Amino acid sequence: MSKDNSSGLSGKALLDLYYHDVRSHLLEAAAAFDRFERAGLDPANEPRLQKLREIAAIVYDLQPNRAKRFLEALSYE
Amino acid sequence: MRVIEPHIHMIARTTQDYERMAQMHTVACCEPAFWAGYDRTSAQAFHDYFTHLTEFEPKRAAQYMIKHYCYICMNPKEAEDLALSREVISFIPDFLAKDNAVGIGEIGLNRNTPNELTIFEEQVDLAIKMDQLLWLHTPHLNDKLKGTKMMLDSLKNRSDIKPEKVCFDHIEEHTLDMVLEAGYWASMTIYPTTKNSPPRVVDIIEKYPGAKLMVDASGDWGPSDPATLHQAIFEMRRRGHGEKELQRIFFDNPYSFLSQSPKFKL
Ligand SMILES: [Zn+2]
Repeated sequence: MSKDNSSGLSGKALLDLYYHDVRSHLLEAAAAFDRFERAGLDPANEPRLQKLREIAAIVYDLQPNRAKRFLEALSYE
Repeated sequence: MRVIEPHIHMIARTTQDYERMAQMHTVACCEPAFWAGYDRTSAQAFHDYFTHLTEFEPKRAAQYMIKHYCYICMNPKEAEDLALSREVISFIPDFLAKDNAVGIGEIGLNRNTPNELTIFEEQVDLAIKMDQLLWLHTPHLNDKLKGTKMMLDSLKNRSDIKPEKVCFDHIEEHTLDMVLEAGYWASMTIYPTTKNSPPRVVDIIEKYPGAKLMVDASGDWGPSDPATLHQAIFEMRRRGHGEKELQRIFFDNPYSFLSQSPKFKL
């Protein structure tokens, strides 16, 4: 499949457009982990939280296709 | 710009939703047959449902100058019961003869079980024999990747299938390549939390220029909204895309797919 990025916007314009969305989504995730922990769950041992911690690392790694790898990591074999 | 909604369950929506869709320039919508939120208790209940899709909904839509089309099928969630499924399949041809029925759908897999696959394959066979469009449901969340692969593998056994008449729906980043590479259409469903968001849909449109892509809101009785389709249109506009590209995704592509059925006319 041919793939290129044909968005009409520059990188800076895209960042301006989505910065607050991304900040807010990451903050929601941080607050949710606090909430689970306050309720007695251990993020290092609870299986679903452990999985979310693993895939959170995909979000900020430096390889392409993060969304695809994120979904693949959550898929059952 | 005129808009075609390729997948929405209007049976679960109010008449006011038809009005809103019309005001947002939707001129046609397609309603695949699906699960009702509970398991139906008899084949007769499916018969009543198909009658609703082919008689009541087109009239309701017409009040708002929207053309209503449908796909008829045994949905994957209730396909575990082989005997019931086969009884339902026996009267599907009667409904495919109705004016607004353009194909078989949404068939596919739900929990990726052998019985679901059997009923999927029997309905694929019916669609090929009757030269119908096929609208395919791929499973939700963590089952999606495996189920999509199973459906693609199954279709590989059919040398008589026309890929241009088949659309895989609920596609996301991890299932898109395999569907497009096999020559099928791919549709992306916008759902608030469990499927795609408007920005992700536009990301994919940008990464695959000219691909056989559609977008749908798939509105039903769950948390969903017909207007998410129009949110994606706005998202494309604010990302700098021109009217020609917008029209290609939200009108021309669904038009090309659907007008392979002689009944689809705008
Ligand atoms: Zn659906």
